[in-house]
Amino acid sequence: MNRTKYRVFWNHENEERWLNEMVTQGWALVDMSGLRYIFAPCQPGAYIYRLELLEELPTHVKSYNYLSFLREAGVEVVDSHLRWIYLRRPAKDGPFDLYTDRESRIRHYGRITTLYGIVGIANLPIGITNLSAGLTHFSRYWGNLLAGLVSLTVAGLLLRGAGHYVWQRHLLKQSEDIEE
Amino acid sequence: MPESTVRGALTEAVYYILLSLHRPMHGYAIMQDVQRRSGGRVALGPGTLYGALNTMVDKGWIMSLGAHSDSRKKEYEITVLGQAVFRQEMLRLCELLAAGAEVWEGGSKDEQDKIQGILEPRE
Repeated sequence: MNRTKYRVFWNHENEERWLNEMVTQGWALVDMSGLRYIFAPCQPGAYIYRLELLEELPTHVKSYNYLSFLREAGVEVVDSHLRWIYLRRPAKDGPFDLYTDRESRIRHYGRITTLYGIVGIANLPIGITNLSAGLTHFSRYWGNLLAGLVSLTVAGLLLRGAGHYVWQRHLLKQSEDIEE
Repeated sequence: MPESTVRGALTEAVYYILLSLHRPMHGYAIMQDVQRRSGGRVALGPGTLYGALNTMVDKGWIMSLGAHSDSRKKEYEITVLGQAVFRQEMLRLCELLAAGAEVWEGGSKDEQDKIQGILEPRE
């Protein structure tokens, strides 16, 4: 009997932590679309889940090659959402981290920052225009006011998220000076 | 256009991958081989390994052999250039060790033996 949960995450590491927490309780993610997460029963601790933002959509040849390589390494692609992929590997195969070197992790954070930054910034003019229309003629444009508030909230969350990843990337870059 | 022969240090991951690829090997096998050779200390993530393999193919240090006949997994092997790079790196490491041996002080007998075992004893 599968279980469905609804969540929104802007921090993929929190999302990973939550998915792995569910595994310790005996629930493994099998489907993800938008806000909806579907879990199937599993042995507690059976899998390790990881998320990654691909450079291209999963249908792109570059992604295809990468995902084939991952499959050879025993990694299963559970689902994907736009450029995000949800991966898992049986815990018995050992610890599972996609990136074990600083350079790749820095690049990954950079990709996420770029995505959030662009979408976040794009929502600002949309939000402001809608908001001002709604405020000047409330009775006619109250719908726009709502849309404007939503856009600005989304923009705020995404830009806050981008800021988080910029900071994480900065921390990683700082440690480059002394150690490999 | 000849590439500059002045190189920086190789990362541990790259060093061990080049080491492993002195024999043809595919992705997952490389991961396991590196882990074994480093006594479990160097664990390559698949994302890291993928990126490193592509970079090394671009630089001509290794080459892709295409899919292995029965397992359909893409194999890689070190090239002549890669072997030269690897030798250069080993010599660089020798230089570091030799310099360190000059100031070596303290440490247990085991640690001293380990260093002496690699360097020639000084007269």
